[in-house]
Amino acid sequence: MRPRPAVRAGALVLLGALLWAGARGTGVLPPLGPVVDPVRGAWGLAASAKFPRHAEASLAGLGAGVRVLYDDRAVAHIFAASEPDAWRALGYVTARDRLFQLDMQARAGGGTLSELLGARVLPRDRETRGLGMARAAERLLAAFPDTGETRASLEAYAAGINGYIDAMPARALPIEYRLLDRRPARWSPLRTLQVLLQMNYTLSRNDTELDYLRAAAAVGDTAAAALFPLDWPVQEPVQPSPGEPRRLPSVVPPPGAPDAAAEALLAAMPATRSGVRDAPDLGSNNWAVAPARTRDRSALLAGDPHLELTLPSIWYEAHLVVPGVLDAYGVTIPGLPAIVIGFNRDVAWTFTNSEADLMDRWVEVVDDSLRPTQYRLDGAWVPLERRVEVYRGPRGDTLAVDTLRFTHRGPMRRVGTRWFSLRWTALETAGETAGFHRSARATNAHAWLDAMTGYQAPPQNMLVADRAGTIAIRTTGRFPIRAGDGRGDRVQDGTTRASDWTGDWPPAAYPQAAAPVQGYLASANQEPLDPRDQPRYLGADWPAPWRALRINQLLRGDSAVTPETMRRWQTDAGSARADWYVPYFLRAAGIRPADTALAHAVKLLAAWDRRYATESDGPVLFEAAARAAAAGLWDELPAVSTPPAAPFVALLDDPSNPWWDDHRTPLIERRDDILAQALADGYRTTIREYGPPELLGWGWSRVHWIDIWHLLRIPSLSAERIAVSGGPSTLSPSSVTGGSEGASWRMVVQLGPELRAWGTYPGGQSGNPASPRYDDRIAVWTRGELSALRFPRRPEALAAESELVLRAAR
Amino acid sequence: MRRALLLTLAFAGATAAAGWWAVPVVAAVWVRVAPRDRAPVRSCMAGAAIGWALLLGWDALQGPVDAVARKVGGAVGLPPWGFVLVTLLFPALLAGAAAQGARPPVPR
Repeated sequence: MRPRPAVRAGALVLLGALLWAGARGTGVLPPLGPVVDPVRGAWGLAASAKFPRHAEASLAGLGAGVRVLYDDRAVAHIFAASEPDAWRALGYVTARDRLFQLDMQARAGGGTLSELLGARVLPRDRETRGLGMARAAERLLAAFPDTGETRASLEAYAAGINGYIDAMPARALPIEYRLLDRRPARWSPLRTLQVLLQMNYTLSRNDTELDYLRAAAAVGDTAAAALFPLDWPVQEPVQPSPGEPRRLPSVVPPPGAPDAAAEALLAAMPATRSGVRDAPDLGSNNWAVAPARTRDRSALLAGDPHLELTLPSIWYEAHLVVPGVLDAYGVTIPGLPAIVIGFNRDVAWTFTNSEADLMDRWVEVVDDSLRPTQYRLDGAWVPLERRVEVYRGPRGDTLAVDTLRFTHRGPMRRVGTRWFSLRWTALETAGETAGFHRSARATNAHAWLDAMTGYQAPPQNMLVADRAGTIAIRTTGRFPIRAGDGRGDRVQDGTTRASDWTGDWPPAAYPQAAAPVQGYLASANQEPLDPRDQPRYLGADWPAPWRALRINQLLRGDSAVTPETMRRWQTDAGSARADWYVPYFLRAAGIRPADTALAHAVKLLAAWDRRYATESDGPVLFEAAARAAAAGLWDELPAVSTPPAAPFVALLDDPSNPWWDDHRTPLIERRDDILAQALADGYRTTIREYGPPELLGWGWSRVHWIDIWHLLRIPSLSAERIAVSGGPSTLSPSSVTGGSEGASWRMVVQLGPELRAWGTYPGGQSGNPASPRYDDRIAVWTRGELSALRFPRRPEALAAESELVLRAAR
Repeated sequence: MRRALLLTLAFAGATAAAGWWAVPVVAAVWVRVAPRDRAPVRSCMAGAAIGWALLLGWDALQGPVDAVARKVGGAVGLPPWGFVLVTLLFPALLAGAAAQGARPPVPR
């Protein structure tokens, strides 16, 4: 039968629509063809979900063949004849497992995410480039010597990644690229520097200056200064301090009249944040124990960096062996050719971030408030350096164009009607990779620290232990010396060079300790030095000392520590913060006429063991009460102010301080009135939200969980609502409602005659969601367990699950 | 039967060799060169779907297609079975539309 014209036309229209949907996608849906194609499409991920028992590939530039053996945890053990070959192979295997993540990390640091993800991420790109990160990466690379070991490693690593991209079968293209209809970008050393800057962006931004301005505008300069004190009133610094935690005298002046200058400055700025800070205190821990305090008389080291948890994980585990030169195991950051945290045959090392102040702001006077070309400096007009940033979308279309301006200090940004310049150490350093390379070859703790001396940003509390039994810690990084009063937590006057940085701390002055008498060392992002021993300003935004107090308490109480103890401590649910606060609440409730709610709350809180266990009701009530207490205390502050918890602790010992008075009531409240009321209110709030505790139990895990999001926040590729113990300021900290930050890599190393190590991270080695190695470690991580890490000296010593032989391309 | 098998293998082979867009090409060619097929549109639809099902079966031998269906299906807002269904419907519709559009204008 002849088909009717209408039917034929309909068929052709349908065909056109299907071809369009197949090739270009519709609305939010990706192009259908490349996704559902059973050969080249997403289904091909099934075939690449598991590596074959044996595979071979050629890789240009290799000096000799490289054997890569994958162990039973999918960790790549790379046996190469030279270091450049090892880095080249590391690039290849990292791309094989994490190609999309590599691309994302570099784009995040370079401000080109919108080329991959479109206009919705344009604000993030503008932020990144506005901070000068794209310019800095280019300048730092240009300043790198063309010859030299580090440059060679960056080039080799890039060649390895590109070698994989060139050899990648169509069906192995990561699913993210199919969903976005994009292709991977080629790698270059510039992208490694962008990844480094991205890590700095994550770890070393701070805006203490703006927080301070907001507070000063509300309660005056004197009170604001006390709300943002340089030091915590309770101290257990990184550097060993004999005896129990110290208490520093701390007085919080009452709220005063608004500071006119701060008000004027603030009026020119948009409000950017709201709400009183909810004590998130997320952070990392590390500690080491000298042989004398361990059961087996071998030094022990625990590493526990906390970061945003993602799938795939920020870390990629690897072992690099170059006979006679390098034999190091640990975690690398995809994009960075280095073992960042790990160990070799003699030494183990790990980091916590130091919250030292690396970023200062100056308020500038410019010749034109909209399009300035000059800024005022020492009585003269100085030309601004300009740079045009073009933001492109996925199809190369121009999304936006910004003209960035730079003073001699760094990038200048307009906030409201004012211009601020910013100086940030991260924009001025690129030598970190060299330090990692040198330190991985160290044979003792001192040599390791020497190798890391040139490390600049982001500053880290570097903890190291060796097989000879030495443990040492040093807060390493570039610490600027400021002019004037030396503080960097205030906006400075930009019209004079007299307010510029005048130099850097010499490495000899870095806070450091080796082989301490107490037999252990620990850090938890807290102040490195006791303020009374500190020669000059280092920072003003230190995290609460609670985790440090808890670690030191545990370490003091055990003189026969084992690797198992170290593992258990990493997920310890005890809280020094609760230990500190709860007695105040109970005392306050005891002297106030009890109503029913308060009586129930007291009973629950008193019975709580102050551990944030998943089934416990106590932390639910305590956190609700702490929130209510903070709201009652800080009623004088506008919603945009976010005072840290330090003055709260100081005020606990000042019961009649005017800050305690709730000026919204006709009465004059004191500390105990506010705390008792907060406890009763917290109880009522919790009842409202979760019902009576005797009915179902509140259970910490009902209100608190961790979400580990895929990099694109796709739910089916993420792990959601993982019940974990721990809460604000416990050793495995997380904010009250959970969130997506946490222990990103847990490691315990025993430096005995033969080094042994255990570790895990919440994710898996593979970036392929169909692979069993995509998220296979989450269960182990959630239970607080660690896996034994294989550390073979020779390929024959490893029972490999898969082998990849890389041959030099002819 | 042999004709149906041939068509199915043609869809599977062309997809393996050239990609998803080969499906409408095979269908268009089929309606022109298979003169004795009384229902060429339906044959093409069935052949394309079965051809892709065979390829899916091959994928299943290679690795965990259930995980792909669950995770990638979820990423595009489909349940696992829905993703499988779309994978089979897409070539069927492509082949059917192409066959209908390419049918010879003269009755046979």
